[in-house]
Amino acid sequence: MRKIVVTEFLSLDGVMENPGWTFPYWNDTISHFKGEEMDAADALLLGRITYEGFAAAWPNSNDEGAPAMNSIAKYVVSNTLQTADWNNSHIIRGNVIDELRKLKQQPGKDLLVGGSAMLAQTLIKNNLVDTYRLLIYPVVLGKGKRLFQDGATAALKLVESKDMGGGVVALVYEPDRKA
Amino acid sequence: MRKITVSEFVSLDGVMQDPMWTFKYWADDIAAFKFAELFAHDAQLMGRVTYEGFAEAWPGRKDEQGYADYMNTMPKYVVSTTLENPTWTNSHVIKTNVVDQIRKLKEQPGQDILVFGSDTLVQTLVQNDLVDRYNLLIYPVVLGAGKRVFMEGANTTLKLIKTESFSTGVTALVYERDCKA
Repeated sequence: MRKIVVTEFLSLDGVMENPGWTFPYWNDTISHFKGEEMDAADALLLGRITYEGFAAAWPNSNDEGAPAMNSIAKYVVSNTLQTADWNNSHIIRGNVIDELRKLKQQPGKDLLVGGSAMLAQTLIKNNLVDTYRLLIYPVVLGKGKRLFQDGATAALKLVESKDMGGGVVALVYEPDRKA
Repeated sequence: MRKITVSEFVSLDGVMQDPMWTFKYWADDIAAFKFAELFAHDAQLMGRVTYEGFAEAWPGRKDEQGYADYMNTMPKYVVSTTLENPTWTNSHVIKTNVVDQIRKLKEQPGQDILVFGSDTLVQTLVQNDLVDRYNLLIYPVVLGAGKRVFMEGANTTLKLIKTESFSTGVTALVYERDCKA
């Protein structure tokens, strides 16, 4: 079964929104970490706001990640989006949970969720996340959307923790299904 | 100048309250971390709720390493406008001019000052830029409710000093204030 991997840039106080605050910390280790997760995936799973931001930025980007981001399949979860023009995009409407379960049953590599706060929260609530890849930044922001909303609960298992240099730490978790 | 260390057990979603959810993850390597932490400080600073919990739990405890003895004998400064006649050994109440008194405490000679729990006091310390170090033990649980270390509006940049992984899936993240920021 395909895995849903939620990958996020997080402040120390759990904020994930508009991660421009991550830019000063970028380094090769982080670049490699992000590259690794793209290589393990064959599709992105995104909410509308993240999708629209990505669709505006990536097609014209010279960033080394651009070719992969532009060619990979994208599933955007939205009941309001009418057209998805970014290369290789597919809209998921209606019974999202069922559609995602079906997607997981198909053969394939990981489904990578980046950004997409509302979608991520839905996945967490419905126990659909198989891996959390969290990059923790040494900043406290005090406001903005958080990955884990009030009411979200989970028992996890730490898979990896790594000092990424420059003050950033990677924490990778899977659900502790025995708990 | 003495430094203030805020030491907390934290869920992955930042909750620090009533950390009984930490018990099942206890291990010797976490114990070693907590031991080294306590003995790097010579005083505690805390809020009333944490103080009252500790004042009930710690007296009479004993362990081979002497952690409990030190918890019991070291000076404790409790920030409270209502606490009268504190019963725990070597306790001192800070009732008024809290921020000033804490600043004066930092200026006295001595080792660093350790803050456990004390969510309301921690907000005051963060808001007044009085925290020099954070020892955060991150637990592999998401709790969804409870008081957090960093509340809405807290805004700061820190410097990661070290990370440590423990056998039961807990990670220590140690930060200090970022002087350049």
